[in-house]
Amino acid sequence: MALAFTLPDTSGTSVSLHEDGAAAAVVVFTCNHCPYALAWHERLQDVARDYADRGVRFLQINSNNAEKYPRDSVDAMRARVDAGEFAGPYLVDSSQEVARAWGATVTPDVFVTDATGVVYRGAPDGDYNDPSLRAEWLRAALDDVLAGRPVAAAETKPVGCSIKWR
Amino acid sequence: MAVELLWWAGCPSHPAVAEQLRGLGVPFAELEIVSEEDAARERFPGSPTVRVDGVDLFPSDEPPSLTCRIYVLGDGRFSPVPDVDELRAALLRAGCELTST
Repeated sequence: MALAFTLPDTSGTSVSLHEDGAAAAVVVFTCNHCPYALAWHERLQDVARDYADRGVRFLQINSNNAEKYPRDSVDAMRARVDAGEFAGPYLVDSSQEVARAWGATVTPDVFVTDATGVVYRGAPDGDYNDPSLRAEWLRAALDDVLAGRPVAAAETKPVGCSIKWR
Repeated sequence: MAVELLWWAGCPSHPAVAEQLRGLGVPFAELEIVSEEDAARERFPGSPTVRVDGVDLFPSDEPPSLTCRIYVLGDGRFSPVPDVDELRAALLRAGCELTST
């Protein structure tokens, strides 16, 4: 099992990793101020929308130290949510405990989980600068999970900005 | 002209900009920003930053910070490195001589 968590979204509503009926969950550690996270952002939202009706939950978490990086404040997160930039919950990990427990290191850092635990960890695809790749590594992992197959490429190197620890 | 590439090790972007500068045939010096004190002293808005004679090629009003710098490409996409065509144009505007285009 993946490490369970419950975190508040930008409106304060608690959201948990596990939810009955979900075939898989994508957990993306991301943030507001990282160019890598921003470059991949739309591709990741497309994945969230494309797999929503196939039982895939899509949770995005900001674990950065907002005191030193005000662009990652809850208010700044909420502004992006209110602007319609997120296709799923954007969660606040102010204690950074979830990022530490999951071993997240950069933004974006992408994890796919199913009933057995984490089955993919890495980057969305091989080039932040090429939108035509459509987060293909993440999509391939989800397709494997949904087909009941082992994930063929279970790990790639996450690329991005270091998580800003306290 | 003194071209400088300022970078911070917590961000993986600077090798790509170094490659861009080498590809344009621009001699440059590298300056690693290690601490918040360095960032403040150098008015470093994020990594990577390219300066010519001390002037940022892409002026920013971001405060000094140990962070990755956000560039906006010509088509509006965000990127950790500048568009190479914009970098070339900025270097030329700053009076740099490019030995390769």
